[in-house]
Amino acid sequence: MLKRIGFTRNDLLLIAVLLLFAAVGVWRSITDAVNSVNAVSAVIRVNGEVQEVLPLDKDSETTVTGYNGGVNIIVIRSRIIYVGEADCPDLLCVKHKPISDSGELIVCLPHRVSVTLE
Amino acid sequence: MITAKNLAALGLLLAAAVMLSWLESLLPPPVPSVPGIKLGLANLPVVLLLYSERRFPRFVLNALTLSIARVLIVGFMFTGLFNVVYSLSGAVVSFFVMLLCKLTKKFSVIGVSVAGGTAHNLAQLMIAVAVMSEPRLMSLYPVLIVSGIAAGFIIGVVARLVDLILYC
Ligand SMILES: [Zn+2]
Repeated sequence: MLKRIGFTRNDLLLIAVLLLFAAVGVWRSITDAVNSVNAVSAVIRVNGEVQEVLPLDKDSETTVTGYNGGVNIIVIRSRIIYVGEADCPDLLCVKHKPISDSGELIVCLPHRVSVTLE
Repeated sequence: MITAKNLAALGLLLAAAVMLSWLESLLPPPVPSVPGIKLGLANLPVVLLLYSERRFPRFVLNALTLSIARVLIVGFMFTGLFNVVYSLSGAVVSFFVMLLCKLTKKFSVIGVSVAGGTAHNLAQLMIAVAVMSEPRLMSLYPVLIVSGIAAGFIIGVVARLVDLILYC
């Protein structure tokens, strides 16, 4: 079927190589997760610069002012972190699933805000 | 020379690209908050144009213009200008990668479109890393490769089918 519409061996090779690259990345994040120590704090950065370091064992709500004056409210509830509210145009940070393991991150591209667990 | 017929076809393709982008913006993102993850449906008209040398005298230039015009129109109309820089880098990088892959004559339209879809996503990720100075974002690249392959594959197959229908 695929051959009949012109799919070639080179196409297949290209897809295989790309998948291999992806697999390497997945493997690395799995080994990173296994080897990582438990995260103790949520680090909030704006434009790559650390704004706040919040302890995970204390519930909190922190208002962060991002690039362009945009606001994100970072919520910590029993060691789980999420963005409760934001005034960015896409609201992808608010829709992002809560994070709790080190290595996970939430970003708000329009406000250049990132939350990582370290 | 570009004919009136060509111009009309270009207009239609641009309208289709804008419409597909709009459709895409209504769908929930497949992976929330991973920058650049979209189905990339709007790439279909660009791929079609890249493969219409028999109908368009300056199809390469037209395809590039189409992909840039699409990003700007969609940016102004729906998504807001903040992510025009992401969409634009994605569109331009994807275009040149597809053009190069096509020129090698080693891939079918499906392979070319897969390369374009992947390049689109990875370019956006790199811009995001640069703008936010957040190298940790790079860890998202496997998801972006896989979604780029999937979108590129679908678009390549559809482009091939459209081509077969138009030329049978
Ligand atoms: Zn946001």
